[in-house]
Amino acid sequence: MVKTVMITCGGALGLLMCCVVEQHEGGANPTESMTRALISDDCIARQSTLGPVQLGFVAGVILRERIPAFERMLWRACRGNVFLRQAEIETPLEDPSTSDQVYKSVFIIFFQGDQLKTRVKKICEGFRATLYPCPEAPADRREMAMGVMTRIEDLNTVLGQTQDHRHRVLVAAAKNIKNWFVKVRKIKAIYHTLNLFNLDVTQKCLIAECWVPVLDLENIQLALRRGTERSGSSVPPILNRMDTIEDPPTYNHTNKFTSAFQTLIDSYGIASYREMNPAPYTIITFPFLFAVMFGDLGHGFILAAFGAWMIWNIFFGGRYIILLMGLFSMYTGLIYNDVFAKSINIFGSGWRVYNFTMKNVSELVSGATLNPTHDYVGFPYPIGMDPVWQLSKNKIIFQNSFKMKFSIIIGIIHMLFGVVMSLFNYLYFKNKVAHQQMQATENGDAEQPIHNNTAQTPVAHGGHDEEPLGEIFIHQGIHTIEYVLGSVSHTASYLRLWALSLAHAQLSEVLWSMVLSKGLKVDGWAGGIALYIIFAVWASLTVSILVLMEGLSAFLHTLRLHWVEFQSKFYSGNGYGFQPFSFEIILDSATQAKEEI
Amino acid sequence: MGAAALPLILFTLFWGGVGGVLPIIVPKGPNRGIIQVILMLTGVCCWLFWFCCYVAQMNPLIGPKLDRYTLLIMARQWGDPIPYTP
Repeated sequence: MVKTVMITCGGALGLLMCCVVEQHEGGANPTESMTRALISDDCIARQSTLGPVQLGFVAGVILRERIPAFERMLWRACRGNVFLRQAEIETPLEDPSTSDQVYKSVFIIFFQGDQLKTRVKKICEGFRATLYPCPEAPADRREMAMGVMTRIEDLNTVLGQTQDHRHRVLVAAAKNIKNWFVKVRKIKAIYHTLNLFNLDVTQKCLIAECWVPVLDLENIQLALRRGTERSGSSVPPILNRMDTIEDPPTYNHTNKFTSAFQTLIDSYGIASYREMNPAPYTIITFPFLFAVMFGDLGHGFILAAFGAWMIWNIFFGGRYIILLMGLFSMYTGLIYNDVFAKSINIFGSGWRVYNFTMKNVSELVSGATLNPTHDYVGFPYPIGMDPVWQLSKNKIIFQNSFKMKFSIIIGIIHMLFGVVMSLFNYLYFKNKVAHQQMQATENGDAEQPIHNNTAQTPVAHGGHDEEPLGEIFIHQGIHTIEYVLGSVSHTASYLRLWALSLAHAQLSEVLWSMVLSKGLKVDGWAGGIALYIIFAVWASLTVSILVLMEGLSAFLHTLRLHWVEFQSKFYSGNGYGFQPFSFEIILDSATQAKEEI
Repeated sequence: MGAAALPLILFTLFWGGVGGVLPIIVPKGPNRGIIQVILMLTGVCCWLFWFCCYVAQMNPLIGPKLDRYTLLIMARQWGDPIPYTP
């Protein structure tokens, strides 16, 4: 007789336990075990003598994947003296902390004695099993189950109500969330700026330095006064101008029309403080130089129409540039007398076919060249190119000479304009230096250090004073040669105006002769269909290649002419931009950042 | 050979008006300066471009080279019909 386990618990649990009962070892014969009662009388008798064997149990749920390890652990830790039954819970349960769906199993463990009980409980704890109390009497269990049911129902109603309430609150909040975001961002920006303030020595006020446009000083004073009134404060804030040796930031007032041009200039480099700003001149010279390369009345009209459409419909910074480029291209196209590679004859050509008879025309094989002395009326076509050139075979030779000359003329004027601007820069900065030096000598001792510092900048500039005369000559000579060579190469660089305009005109003529004119040459009703298809091809090629691609290339060349050839004459662009505190900018960048996410 | 006075005067007056007169009568406002610059540069650029094109054609050294059909059509459409002389 080795181990016998007595069962004292009743009901269903008792049934479950039957299989644990070990058989008597070396029991007389197998049939006896089948007939004999499992719990024999003498067992019961012994039980009464030794006192009741208390069999405890715990019940709970555990994650399904932990079951095998849990079972093994129990077996080892309790040396096989516990009995585990488990059943899977079919429906997945929601983990309240992570709201994931998890599968769990329910288990029950039987054991004997308090020592095993603590061990089992520790293991359960270790495996994160949830234990539930289970009374032994069936009536109690039923009662408890009832209690649990009613509690679940209660909780469900509470949950439902909470969810409803939460939904209502969130719906109400959704209406305001945008405003709240705006408010929070504004408040954050304000506090961020306030954090830059320092506490005064008297500990009673906050002090900070900032840059302010001189033009807006009055507006700012007004705003400060309004702020004082609204906040009900009795002490007004004080705004004082102060002297500084720092370079102030550059701030150019722009509006929706000029800002895109200013951006073009700023992307090269922000102007040094008080330097001539090329942006106002760029408003016209940029579209004009573009149009010299893009000159075609038809293509210009497409571009201008696109620009106008954008102005009405979408908020795009470059829309005014595109409109102006289109309008100027229409004008240069009119002068080039070029509409989709065709000319318009408004005023009557200056070239006449006076001196031909039917006989000598019919004898011509490769055509004839009109004579400037006999076939020309004596004065040019009033506006732009004579339409006869569009028909002639030597059109390029004639137009090249005009386009090349004009490129050089406009290039030299453009660069001279830049040199004049550098003169203004020079006069301004020289005056400023002289003024500062005068101030430095006139001022009293107290302010001497500050002004000495301001005066140091010109000293650094005029550092040549200490150099020997010969070196100055050499330096200036090198500088002059460099400048002259640079100017010559820059002048040649303006020939791109001619090259691109020629390329544009030729491309559009190719499109006419290779595509659209083919469609016009088909006879009969089939010609209508052919033209319908060919026109679609021609139109899409015109827009994609001539307007978009050529437009982009002309734009980039214009940008280069402005950045390199024009601005190198006077513009250093070593400044830094003024960054005003602006809710608009802050909110814009916040929404952009949100969109990127 | 040379220029016809009328187009020269008219065009110069037109762009001179845009670049020289309009800037004077621009209404006062914060954008007056920029509008003046825009008008003046527009006048100068557009006039110069037209003027160069005009001057380039004043004393032609070469004439247009035209093929037979173009000559015939020009003669018919632009008002100098070629006389039938055998």
